[in-house]
Amino acid sequence: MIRFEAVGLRYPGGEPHRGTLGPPALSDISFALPRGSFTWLLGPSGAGKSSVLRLMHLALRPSRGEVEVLGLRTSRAPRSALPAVRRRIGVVFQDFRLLPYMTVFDNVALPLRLAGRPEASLRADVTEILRWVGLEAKAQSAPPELSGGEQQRIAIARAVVHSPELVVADEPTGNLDTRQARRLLALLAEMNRTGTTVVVATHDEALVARHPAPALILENGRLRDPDHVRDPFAEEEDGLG
Amino acid sequence: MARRMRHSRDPLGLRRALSGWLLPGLVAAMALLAALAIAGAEGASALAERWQRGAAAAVTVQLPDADAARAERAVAALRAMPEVAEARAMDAARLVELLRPWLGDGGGLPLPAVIEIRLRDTRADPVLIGDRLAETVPGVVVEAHGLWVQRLAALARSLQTLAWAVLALVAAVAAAVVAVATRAGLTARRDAVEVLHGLGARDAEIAGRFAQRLGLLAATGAVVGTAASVPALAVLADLAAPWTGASARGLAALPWMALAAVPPLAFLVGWATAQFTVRRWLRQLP
Repeated sequence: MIRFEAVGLRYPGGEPHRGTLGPPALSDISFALPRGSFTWLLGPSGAGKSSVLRLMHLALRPSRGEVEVLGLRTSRAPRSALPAVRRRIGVVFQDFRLLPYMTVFDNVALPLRLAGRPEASLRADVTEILRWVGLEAKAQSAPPELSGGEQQRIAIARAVVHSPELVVADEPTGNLDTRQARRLLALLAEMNRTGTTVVVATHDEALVARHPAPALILENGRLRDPDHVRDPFAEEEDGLG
Repeated sequence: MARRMRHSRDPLGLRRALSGWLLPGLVAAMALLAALAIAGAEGASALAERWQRGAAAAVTVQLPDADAARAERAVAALRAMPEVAEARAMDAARLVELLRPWLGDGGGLPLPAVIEIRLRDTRADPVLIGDRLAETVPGVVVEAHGLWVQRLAALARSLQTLAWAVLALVAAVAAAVVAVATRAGLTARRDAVEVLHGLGARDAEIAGRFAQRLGLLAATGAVVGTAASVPALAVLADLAAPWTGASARGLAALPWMALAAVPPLAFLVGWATAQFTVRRWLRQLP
């Protein structure tokens, strides 16, 4: 499902070092997550959680090693092979990344329209998913008119409306109060129960305590005690079976 | 509902990001120049062709006090010359017709016999032809106004080439303007483009939306600019009619087919430039 093999990542250097590479953001990361798993990605700010997630949803390619996502080895895949895999992944960002000039309905419908679904058939799916996140009544509102929690639920709805095989969420509760955070977690857990692989990066210990699951812990761009999490390769075999 | 319909086909919000009259206005100005260049090219081409035709039959041989036998002898002698492609005695009736404005119905005036010659090579010296013909048929007069006509035709052809060059330059400037507008649109909608890219939109899909929008804006400007050029062109066509020998006047004389091609060409320039610019920009994303 997802496999990292000795992954290293360096971002391009900033102004004084343009054209060169910055210090390593990730070093020697290896793990595998089986299909249908729920995994926490933990660690302090700047540990590399976002970088790991961006590698998972193909917003980055590794500088070293290999990242395999949904059967695609991303380090050597041609650029044209990436969009098809991205469409099978749902991403929830901390800052939502909704398009402000579109209605809630159109924001959520975006992945289906990109997949070429006809208007007539996507209407029912979008309405259904908006009902699931409890925002059916706001379908015609513009995102800026909604509260932070509501916008986050729209972002979740957009991430899962096309039934992706993998959902990754980066600090999804960062802008939410406790009650809304719990509700969000319930939504993600429900997605996971229906077979979706879920990876959630957070530093919210209370949230993790509420939903015990295997965790990858990052520190300074390195994985802390990976074997402590699970035996990744054995689990992968089971997951594929 | 109307809001939804408005935005569902425009996920990048390009109708708002790429709006206003700046781009269509600039394209309109360039379409105006393009229309003038096209008309110039067409006009120069008509002039060149007409003058070239005139030049080909530019040498005439006159035989004063001609009788039929002398005229036939002269024609035969001319046809025997290697540099003469064709020699033809002008029909007497046609000659009378040509001279009617000056001589009325002729009134029994003795008219010379006139032989039109088409040369194989226009560089052949007509004076030498006249000298050789005079050996067989004394008293012939050779008229060669072909040289300056030919020079005029060459000038017209250069003007035509120049007009096409202007047209190419206008297209290049239009492409540059569209490229700048595309970059502005990309800057304004950077977040949206990145979101769509992240959701799995292919480069072709994103570039296609920009290309459609910019092609449409360019075509709109071109329609306005071309329409604005029509009155000026009609006046010019009227002024040029005596030179080109065109029977049509004013609006009917305009190169409508070529003018109608300006908006589709502008669409194509806008579409292709936007495609190229956006695809190149997207290459910086993984």
